[in-house]
Amino acid sequence: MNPDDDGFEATIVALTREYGPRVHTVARRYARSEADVEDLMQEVWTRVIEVLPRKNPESPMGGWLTMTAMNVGREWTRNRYRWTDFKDRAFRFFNIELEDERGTGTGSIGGGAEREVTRAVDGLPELQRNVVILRIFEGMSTKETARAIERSEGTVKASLSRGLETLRGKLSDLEELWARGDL
Amino acid sequence: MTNDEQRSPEDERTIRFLSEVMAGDEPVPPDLQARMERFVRRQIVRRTTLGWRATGSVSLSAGLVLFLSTGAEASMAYAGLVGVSVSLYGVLVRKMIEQAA
Repeated sequence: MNPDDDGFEATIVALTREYGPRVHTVARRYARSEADVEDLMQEVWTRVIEVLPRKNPESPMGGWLTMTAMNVGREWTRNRYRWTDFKDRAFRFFNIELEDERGTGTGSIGGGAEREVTRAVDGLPELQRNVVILRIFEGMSTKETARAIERSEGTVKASLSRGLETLRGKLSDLEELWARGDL
Repeated sequence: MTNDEQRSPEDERTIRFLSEVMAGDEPVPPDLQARMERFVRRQIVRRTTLGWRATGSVSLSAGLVLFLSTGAEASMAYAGLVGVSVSLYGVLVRKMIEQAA
């Protein structure tokens, strides 16, 4: 399906209605203000329009959209907040009190735990990241995940195992809080 | 997540933790949803017509053909007239492609 095809616009609009909440949730995990949420959602839908014609038909739409939204979110955050983060680090280094600028603070507006998990998942190598997103967040089976990312089931299992190990290392404190019911 | 393989208790716990923390989608406010729908419609229209650079190329080519075919008289007034005409022509071509898409 291409942007020139009849029905492409209707398909995309239907996707924004069905998966809007998913894209909105992912955007809130990355963005630091409501205005940025909207900017990031626009970026995600622009990317969807671009890459939908090349989507693997075996890949379920929900999982594919979550992967796409997180990829866009990661790139967008790196570009959008590069200067702000650099400035924050420099000011902190010189012990200068920095007044948070509207819309460019250091935290996302989504929940703190979600933000930390998102950052940890973003730090994984691409294959492990995609497997974690599809297997854990999307609840897909090993077979479905293997078809979606065009890899063998053995690769999916191994990537999940390595990804979980890395995430456990990075998020051990948060996992402890969760286990104690303090999250 | 479907349990289609054997996993260690640590892995099971981490999976439960990650699933719970990241569970649930937040609804999109209706005004934001309406803006997103307008945005995607605009984006698709943009992709089904000429970009401004391509429109400029159409105008330039038309201008060259017109100028050369009329003997290339070096008159500023004539050049200006041709310039305006071919600019309008480029925009018109762009609009027609947009309408046809």
